[in-house]
Amino acid sequence: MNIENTYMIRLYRTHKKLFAVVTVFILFQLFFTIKGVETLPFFNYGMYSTPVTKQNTYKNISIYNGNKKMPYNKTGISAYFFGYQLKYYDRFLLQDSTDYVKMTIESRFGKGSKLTNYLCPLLTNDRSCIIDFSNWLNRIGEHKSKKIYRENYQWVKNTFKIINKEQIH
Amino acid sequence: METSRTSPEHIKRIIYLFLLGSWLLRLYQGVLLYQLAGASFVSVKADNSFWIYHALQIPEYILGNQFLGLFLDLIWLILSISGLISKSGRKKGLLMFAVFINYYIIYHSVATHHEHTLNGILFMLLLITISNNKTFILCFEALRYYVLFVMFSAFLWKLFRGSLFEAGQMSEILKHQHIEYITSYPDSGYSNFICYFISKPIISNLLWYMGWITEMIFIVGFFTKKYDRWLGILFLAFFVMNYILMNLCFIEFCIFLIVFWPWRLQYEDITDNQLY
Repeated sequence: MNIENTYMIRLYRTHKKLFAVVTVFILFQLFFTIKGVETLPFFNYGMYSTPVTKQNTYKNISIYNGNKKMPYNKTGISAYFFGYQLKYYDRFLLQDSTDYVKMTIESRFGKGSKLTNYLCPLLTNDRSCIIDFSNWLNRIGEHKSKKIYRENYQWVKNTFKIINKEQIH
Repeated sequence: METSRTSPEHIKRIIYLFLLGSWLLRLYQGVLLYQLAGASFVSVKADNSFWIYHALQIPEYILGNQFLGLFLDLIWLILSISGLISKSGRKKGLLMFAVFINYYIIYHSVATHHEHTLNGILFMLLLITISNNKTFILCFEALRYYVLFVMFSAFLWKLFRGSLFEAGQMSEILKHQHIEYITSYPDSGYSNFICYFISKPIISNLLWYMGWITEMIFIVGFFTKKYDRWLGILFLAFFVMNYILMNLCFIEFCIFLIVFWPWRLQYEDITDNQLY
């Protein structure tokens, strides 16, 4: 490989401003990769890289329209987007309606600091979001009476078998 | 044989075409800004850029005003069509870039999950803001290296986090990924297809390793452009398999494919053998 013809050398010779921009980008990307966090436009492409071990039960958040289960892809909205909302709602309830971003803000700026108190209402969800969530849910599907269940399944004989379920909405 | 040079305008048109396609896809998926109005939860996660944007209350204002959301959606549509049929100006490019970044942040905040499907368009959009030929070509080349980094770093993450050494990794991923679909449609052909791979961890892990090797191969691109066509094919195959097995639609991300196409871009002070 001819070192003289590598991209960064050519860039340095032909476009010094762009060379500086690319170098700064690489340094920031390196920083955020080492930190393991993402900040637009510095992304980490580590999807599915965490080891996933076999579990006894598998959780699913289901929605029922009346008494009929409503698959995510029948909601008229992206199935993934819809699933994210339900999972977030479940997690929010499990954390006693506390947004985990609040913990991130506190760890960065200190608990009870002026900046933390200023940012928390702007960046986090509070209990009022549960009412907004119900209103948003009412707009989806034909019927207004929707129930959400936290379901636990086991993988038995090549399929999922329900173990228990709990209504969370 | 002498072939005609590629104008940056050709590449810009492709980017505008993807922007139009993305708009239509997102309209169908119900996730354009006016469709997101009234959504309840937002999650800025640990992303500093999202924090700043939300601290300025811009997303909240747009989400609280459906007509403003619709207005911004229409600007995206109009600019995409305009970029396709007429010369792409720098001002148009900058406006499109601003509209898209705004959408990018709001969509991912409301989704409460910061996925990477839009990253392809996000990075390629830089090109439509560049009017200088030389800067365009050098940025295009930088983006090619970025795509190589995306793929190869995905390989490294799996290696260093240890998921490669987990015996039933793919089978377990499939369980988590498809539990909602399988329990909603237990008798469907796709459910049976996925259940087969879940119940055969060795076979599903073979697919996992194939994906991992594919990501590893992209290191070649850092040293030579000779195999770019093959890298392009592998890139496409990777995301087609992703769609089949994981039901993840990365069609917008596939705009990155164009960096592997053998364009004949040239600026005045570069010799033929350095053509990109």
